[in-house]
Amino acid sequence: MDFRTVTTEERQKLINALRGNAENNLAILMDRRDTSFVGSSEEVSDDEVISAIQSVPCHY
Amino acid sequence: MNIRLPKLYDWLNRLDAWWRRDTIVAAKVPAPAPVPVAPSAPCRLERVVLSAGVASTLFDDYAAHCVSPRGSEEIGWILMGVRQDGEAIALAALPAGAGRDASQVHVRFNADAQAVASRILRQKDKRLQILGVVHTHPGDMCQPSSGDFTGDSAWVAKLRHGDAVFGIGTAGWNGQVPSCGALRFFWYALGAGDTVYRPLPARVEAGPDLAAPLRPIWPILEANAVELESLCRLFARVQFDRAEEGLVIRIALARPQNGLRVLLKGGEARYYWERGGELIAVDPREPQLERAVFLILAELAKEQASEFREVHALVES
Repeated sequence: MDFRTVTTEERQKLINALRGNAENNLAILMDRRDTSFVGSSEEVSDDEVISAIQSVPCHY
Repeated sequence: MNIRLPKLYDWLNRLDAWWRRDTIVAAKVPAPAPVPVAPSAPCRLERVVLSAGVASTLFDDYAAHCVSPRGSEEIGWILMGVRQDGEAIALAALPAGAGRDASQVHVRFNADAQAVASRILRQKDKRLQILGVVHTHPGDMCQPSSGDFTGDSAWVAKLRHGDAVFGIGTAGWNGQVPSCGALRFFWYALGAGDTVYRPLPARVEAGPDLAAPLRPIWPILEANAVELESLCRLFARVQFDRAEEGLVIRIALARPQNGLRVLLKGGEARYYWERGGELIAVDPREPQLERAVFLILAELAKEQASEFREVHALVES
């Protein structure tokens, strides 16, 4: 098992990803080879997109 | 799941402090400067980037609209794409549809068809989201109207990023007839709480309009949008495919390699039961799509129940 200190930038990204997960349901992505943290997802849910489309106002 | 944010922040800060302490001890180097841990603020829109395909769609559609029987009405599109830093990258333009409600002074899109189209587009990329709205104005009025502002300012407040792109298309007018010689699009951004639209720089980059393959089947989407959306909400695994100028809807059933396929083409619906590698045509004798699907599922449930009874009887004997 290999332990490595994360860099300041990596730590900040991880904290932001955890916050994004808690606040906006953004997925936290991990490397499938070694399960390390690789970032957060910008995926948007179907419901969010459908709701935005259905609520587009009339334009004049 | 109910998460209490203050507790989560507290936990994160303690985790951060614990990690920082270990870093200092292990490396024997000065601690890095404290990093602000405020949540990352959404980026303010700085520009809109149109794929060449989307730009072409806007101009081609607008030109065709101008010479159509409804050419004096306003027309519009929804832009879908991805947000990246301060850029909105438009990768698909969803048309207002033949079922739009429009006049010389307003346009309301057929949102049901656009919603189903968004589901089809997002099968391959869940990052695709709504970026904004483009619509046309008569004459040379190249700015959003006060009526636009009323609706748009309330709408953007409900969006994930709190802002959106708004495009206004204009055509030169020759008396009472729109002239297609001078089509132009003007770009703006509006955020929640803004009092005016901001002009937005726009540029075109190579790329397709991801919605272009859906154009030939748009009448099918408009005719069946409500039922298709309902099926998507009722079933967990619904997949759309293009086939022979039609649309195939695959609904996965509980058993492995079992599914229902619906082929919509030319105003007709055909139904097939997929069982293993076998494809069995089914005629539910029901014109309404959603009801037909449920009638077929009820028949399949009866068949599965009789199979279960037969197996059960064999075990008992």
